[in-house]
Amino acid sequence: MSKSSTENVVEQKSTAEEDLALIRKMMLEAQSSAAIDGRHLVLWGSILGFAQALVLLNIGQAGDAGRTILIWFVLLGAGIVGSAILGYKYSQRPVNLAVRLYSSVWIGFCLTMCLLFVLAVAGHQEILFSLSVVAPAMTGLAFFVTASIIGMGWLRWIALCWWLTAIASAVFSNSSYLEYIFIFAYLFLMAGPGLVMTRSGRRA
Amino acid sequence: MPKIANGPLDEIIHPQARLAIMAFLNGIEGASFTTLRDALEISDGNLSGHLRRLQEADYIVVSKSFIERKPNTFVSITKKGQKAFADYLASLEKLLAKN
Repeated sequence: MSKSSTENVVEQKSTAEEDLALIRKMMLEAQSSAAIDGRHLVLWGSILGFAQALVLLNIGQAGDAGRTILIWFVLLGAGIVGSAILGYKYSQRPVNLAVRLYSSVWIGFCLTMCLLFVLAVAGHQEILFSLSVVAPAMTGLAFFVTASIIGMGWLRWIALCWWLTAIASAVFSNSSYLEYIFIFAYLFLMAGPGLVMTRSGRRA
Repeated sequence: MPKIANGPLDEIIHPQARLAIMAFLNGIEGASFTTLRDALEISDGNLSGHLRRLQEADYIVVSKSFIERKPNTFVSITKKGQKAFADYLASLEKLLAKN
């Protein structure tokens, strides 16, 4: 091989290495931009915790079931509108498969819970009674799946806490402490993790 | 067309800015013009020129919409673009492995 052709190969190799380094850097940059957003969890955790507190106050004041249903309808509506605004506001952010899966899991969860709630207030009382067990159990499932999708292992502990909440809800179904447990759960097991996820800007 | 030991490199992707755009878009569904501009740290005019060249080759799709009454340009990679990028990457890897 002549001197010039050897120099040419060395130069090409150096350029190829630079190109690969650039590709690697830009791919990492893209993944970093497509960060998991916990804002929806913060919003829903806060709204559901607040709704539960209002229901507790309503029960304390010997309020009727109609008012409890109204509280839930208004606050669930506020949550849906809030989520839509957040989704619209941050729609410019890059999206990858993990972000898409994460969003799908939580949108699916939210729609299922809203459907069950509407069916329950529409007259299917058997659903209403099981909702306090089904809701935390499904929340646990959603957190468990989220942990696998985005690789945040500690979310599995949050899932476990939600499943324990479901058990507590079934065991102490007539206890007045149940409302407090749910307020705590929504604030610290939903809004809390959402805040941590948003602040850490977790790569997906 | 630039050449390496294993054959020609795609001259549309070869310039650094376009290679960076393709690498950025390859792993995601798409990105806004501003996200790309900030990631590449180049001027609007420069980015527009490179995007136009990639769009002409059908490597990317550029769509325009309005978000909060502000114009938004969204860029995503096409199947053809993904294949071209994968081929480019394979050529680079072969070159490095051979030497």
